[in-house]
Amino acid sequence: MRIKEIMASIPNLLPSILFRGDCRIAVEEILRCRRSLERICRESESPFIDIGNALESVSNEGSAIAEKILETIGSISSDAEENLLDRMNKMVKEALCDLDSRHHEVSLRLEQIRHLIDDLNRLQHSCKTVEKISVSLKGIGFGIRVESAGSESSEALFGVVSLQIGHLSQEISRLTKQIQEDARKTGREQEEIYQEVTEEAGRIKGLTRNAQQTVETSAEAARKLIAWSISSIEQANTHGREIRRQVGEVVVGMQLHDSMNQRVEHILHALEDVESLCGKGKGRYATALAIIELQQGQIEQTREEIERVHDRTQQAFYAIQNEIDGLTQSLSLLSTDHHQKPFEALQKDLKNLKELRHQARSATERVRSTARAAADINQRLTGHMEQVENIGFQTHFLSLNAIIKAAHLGETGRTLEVLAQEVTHISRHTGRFVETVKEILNEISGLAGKMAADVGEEEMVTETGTSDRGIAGLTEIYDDFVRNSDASLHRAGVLKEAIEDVLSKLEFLQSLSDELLGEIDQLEKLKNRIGRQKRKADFKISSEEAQRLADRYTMHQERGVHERLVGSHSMTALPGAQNLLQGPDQKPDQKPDQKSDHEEEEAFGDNVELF
Amino acid sequence: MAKVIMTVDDSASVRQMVRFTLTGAGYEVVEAADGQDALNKLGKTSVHMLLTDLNMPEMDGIELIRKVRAMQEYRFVPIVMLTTESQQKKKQEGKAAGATGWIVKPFKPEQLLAVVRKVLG
Repeated sequence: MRIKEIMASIPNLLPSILFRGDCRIAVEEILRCRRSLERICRESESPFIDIGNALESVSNEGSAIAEKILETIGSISSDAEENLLDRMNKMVKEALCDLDSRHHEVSLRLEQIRHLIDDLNRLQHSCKTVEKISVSLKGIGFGIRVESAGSESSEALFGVVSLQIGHLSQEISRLTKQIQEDARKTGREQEEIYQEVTEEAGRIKGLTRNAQQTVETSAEAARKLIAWSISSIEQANTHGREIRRQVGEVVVGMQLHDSMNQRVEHILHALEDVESLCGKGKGRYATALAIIELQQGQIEQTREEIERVHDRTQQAFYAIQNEIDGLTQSLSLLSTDHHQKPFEALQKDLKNLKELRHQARSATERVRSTARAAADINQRLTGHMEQVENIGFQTHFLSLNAIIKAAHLGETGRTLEVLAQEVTHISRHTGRFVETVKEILNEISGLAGKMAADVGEEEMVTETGTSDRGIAGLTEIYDDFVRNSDASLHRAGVLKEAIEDVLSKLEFLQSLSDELLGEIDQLEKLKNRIGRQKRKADFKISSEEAQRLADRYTMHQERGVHERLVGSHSMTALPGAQNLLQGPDQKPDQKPDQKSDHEEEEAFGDNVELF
Repeated sequence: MAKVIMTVDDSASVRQMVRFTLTGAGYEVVEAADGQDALNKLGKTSVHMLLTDLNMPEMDGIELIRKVRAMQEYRFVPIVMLTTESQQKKKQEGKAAGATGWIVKPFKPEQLLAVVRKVLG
């Protein structure tokens, strides 16, 4: 506004005739001012380039950090074939399947052992019946011996038979007692085994319950992690976009040097004309004063722009710093805040699940071991089987032998024949006993064999390597996460220091503005020198002349300056004028992140025209 | 393979910002300080697009466009003016010389990239 006031007073300015000495001094001052402006422009290029280089480093490093953070977070919730949740699901599914399989195996063992115990009880019961047979056979043998003692012929025929029957009776009694004892002993062992297996079954059931609870908490932890990851990715993208936007602001600001150069070049030409107007007594001092005023206005405009760029660039770098903080904040939260440690919780749960599987495995091993012990009775009972079959054969043979011999005695052997028939009767009983015992022993043998065979098959199914690999994989993801997080945090720290450095470098813009202010002061002194000499107010410059000078001695792109000065048009009416004050495409009421990337591409802005 | 874009500007800081913007988006950038420098470099390297300032020492942007359009291999290569100049008369002059578009400085990175993507197809 100061310039406007001055411009309004231009027609009333009365130039004076400079003394020759003052004229020389004025020309020297103009020359010094031109050189000084040239120097300022030349020397300011290097700091602008420095800031540009720093911007490039900050932008590249910021992008690299953002990418690294996205990669780090993305490994948790990526769409890859084996992301965290997939691994979790696989491991949990396998763990529960394993525990279920073990529970099923133990239940099967219990059923088999129960059958074994039942068979052993049946065997004992059968043996009691055979004890009675043994006693009957002993009585008949005694009867045959007494009856055959009545004649030499019958004694000769039945003496040996009665002894054999007595011997067989003892043999049956001994074998029965042996089988009973064996069955009782084995039954007791199996009852103990049954109790043990029942306890293990209960333990595995408990472990499965615990595992299910662990799975629920693990799933919750995994869900939390995935949710955190997705939200963090969204935040990281937002921070990344904002960093790019702020980098864009700095890019706009760094182009100031170019426009400043052009402006200064224009000013230098104007001062050249002033030099000419003041020199050699041309006496067009009013015109010279007006041109100087306009150049002061242009330099002031440049200063304002420099200060605006300083503020915007400073704000942009602070904003980038904040965005970097935002980017790393979620990583810090996950690795330092106890309540935000779903990763550790998940890892703990999975280790717990692994431990439960390990315990279940041990329990199953103990059950298998007892199953193997149960299978050992097979060998012992095979020996009894042979003896039982032998007794059946001998009894049958003796009964036939006794009947044949009684038939030889005719009427005198009638009583012996009755006794021989009894032996046959007992032989049939023995035969049934033999069949029953054989059947029970076969069943026991089959069960024992099956138990031994099942142990082998299950062994192949319950391999737990996948679980270990899964936990190792999860640990690997976590370790990568921690390592990448630490690296990102470290890089963010370094980047923040770099930004601090750039911020301190921005002070050169303030110095540049101060230097230009010094030039405005110098021009003011020059103006005063010219003004001091106005002894004769013998002419004025008209409004038309003022307009002409303004048109000629301000840059077209900055017509806004002189339009303001002459007050004939609104500043925004001129193309490009708005860019000087607001930037190329941003409307004052438009928020920068309201557009999508695609829309931004399509909307080029007011300063772009494609032919 | 990355597309090559030549930036022609006597301001090192503008060339720097153009290079920074374009290389960040995957383009390869060749720099020239004025029209003559650009012509010399065009003889040695092949480019897919030119971004040129208007007022430059040795040879200005309009003259450069005329000379580039006279080269058979660059008849249809996009050439966009990137200048502080915004006069319609100058724009018409640029268009007549064979410019594809006009961007008034200062540019924002996303603007420049949008234009580059548009003209390079």
